[in-house]
Amino acid sequence: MTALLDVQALCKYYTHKSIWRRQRKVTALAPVSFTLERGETLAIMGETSSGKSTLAKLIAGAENPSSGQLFLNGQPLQRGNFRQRCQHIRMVFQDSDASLNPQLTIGQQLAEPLLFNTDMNTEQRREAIAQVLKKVGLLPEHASFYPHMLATGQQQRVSIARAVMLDPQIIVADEALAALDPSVRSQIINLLMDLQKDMGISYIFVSHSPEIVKHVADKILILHRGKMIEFGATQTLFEQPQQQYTKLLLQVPAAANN
Amino acid sequence: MPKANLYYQDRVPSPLTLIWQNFSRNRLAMAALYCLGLLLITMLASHALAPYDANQQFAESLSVAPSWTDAGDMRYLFGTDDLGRDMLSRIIIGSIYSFGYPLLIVLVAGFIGISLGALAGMSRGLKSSSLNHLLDVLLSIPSLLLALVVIAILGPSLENAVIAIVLVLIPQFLHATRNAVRDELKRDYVIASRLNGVPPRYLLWRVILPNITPVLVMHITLGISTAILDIALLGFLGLGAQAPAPEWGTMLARSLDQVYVSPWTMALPGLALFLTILSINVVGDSLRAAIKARAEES
Repeated sequence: MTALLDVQALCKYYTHKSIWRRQRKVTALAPVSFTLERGETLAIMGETSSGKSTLAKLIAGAENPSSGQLFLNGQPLQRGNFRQRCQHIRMVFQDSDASLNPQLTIGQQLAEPLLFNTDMNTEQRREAIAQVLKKVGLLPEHASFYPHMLATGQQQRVSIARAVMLDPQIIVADEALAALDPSVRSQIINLLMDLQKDMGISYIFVSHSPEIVKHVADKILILHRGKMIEFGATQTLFEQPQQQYTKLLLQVPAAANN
Repeated sequence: MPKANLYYQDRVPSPLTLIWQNFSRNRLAMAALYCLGLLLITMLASHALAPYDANQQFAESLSVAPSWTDAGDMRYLFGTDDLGRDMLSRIIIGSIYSFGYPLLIVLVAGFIGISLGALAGMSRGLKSSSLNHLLDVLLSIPSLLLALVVIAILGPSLENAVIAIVLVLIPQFLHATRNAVRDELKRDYVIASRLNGVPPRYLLWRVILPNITPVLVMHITLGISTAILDIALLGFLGLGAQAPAPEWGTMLARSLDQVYVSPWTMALPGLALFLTILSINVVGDSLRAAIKARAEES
């Protein structure tokens, strides 16, 4: 059986165009290959500017790769074809406030993916939105709210609602938990894990918190300066890291250990 | 009895409503807005409101002082000029030239500039760049000088002045819109919408345009005051509206000869011009402040 997501030699570089000097190539992500199974959670870790956000964006389709391909259930994903991709892969952003349109109500924003990817009528859409809002722990009445009226945790729930709207197979979360305070963060983690149980979603987490990763991830991918230096099961990586870098990165602070 | 429904709010205030609430709390802004509204009504109903025709001459009452002075005459509220024309009628009908035409100019220039700018912002590469720099040559010449060039070619008339000012304003709208669209395209919520699989048309109309209205409003108010000043200035120089037309700038130019004999012929059109521009700038400024305050509140 083919893997749910098969990433093959995905890479991204930027060229700085300049009239005076030669073109300079900056590699954000050296070719990376890995696979993800159904219902699995993959954590991408690494220090700042190690290319982990770039990898997340490439998988979600927010940016186009310089080369390499993505296969979903053996089918290649076309670049720039958002309609095809959004049925299967969705993204949750780090800054929930910035990722919601301030001029539209929550309901209007959640209707957006339905409007262009399904042929539901208005009544069905409202029903679907109410259900999803309940699923993420909000009320159907929140559909008529504007984003600025919600707290950060609630906004993040709306972002998650938007992500699960089309019953995707993979959700990419780019530091989605970093901006939340600890109690809200654990609520959101529990919500994500409940959704995983109910809907069989695979997650790709970008995170720099070893505690969370240890708690939720099945596999970990370590990036260092745009290169994948280690990839393996969570247990293995925590107990027998091959690289010194991995060991330092995965060090759980003493306070969180007991 | 007021509505007994205490706990359920029927409508959640939209961002636009909030901006309006912010704006209407500012007394000065509201005064300026009423002033503009009054001016607009005066302009639209000018022929019904003006007591006489703008060019009707009263040979028996030349240079009559305004009615509130001792020498004044109640038949001519704002007095008459040296040719015996009623100043009030001239100022009221002049609002078509000095306020109506600038509005029309901004409407046309804004429509062309904003649609081209949106197109340039949404497209990439050569198409975007050529659209963006299409009219840049016009920006290299000061607007008034360009208007003079256009008038030198086409001949002095109000229509040519209008064409010249429209041409000058288009690139400003174009650049402002394109830059705003470009900035907005990088935002997370636009990327999120794109990942929702929405078509570009929806992205532009529902996602980007409502979020760049502050920028557009700012440029439209700026454009209106520029257009009013330019029309008046060209009229003053005798290059825009021609002599018998009661355009405020033209009236100012005519009154120069008799400024010591009948100062009201200069003061009144000048005052009209001043009030119009002041209220537009105050409204524009307060609107900008209200939008900013609303953005900071949330």
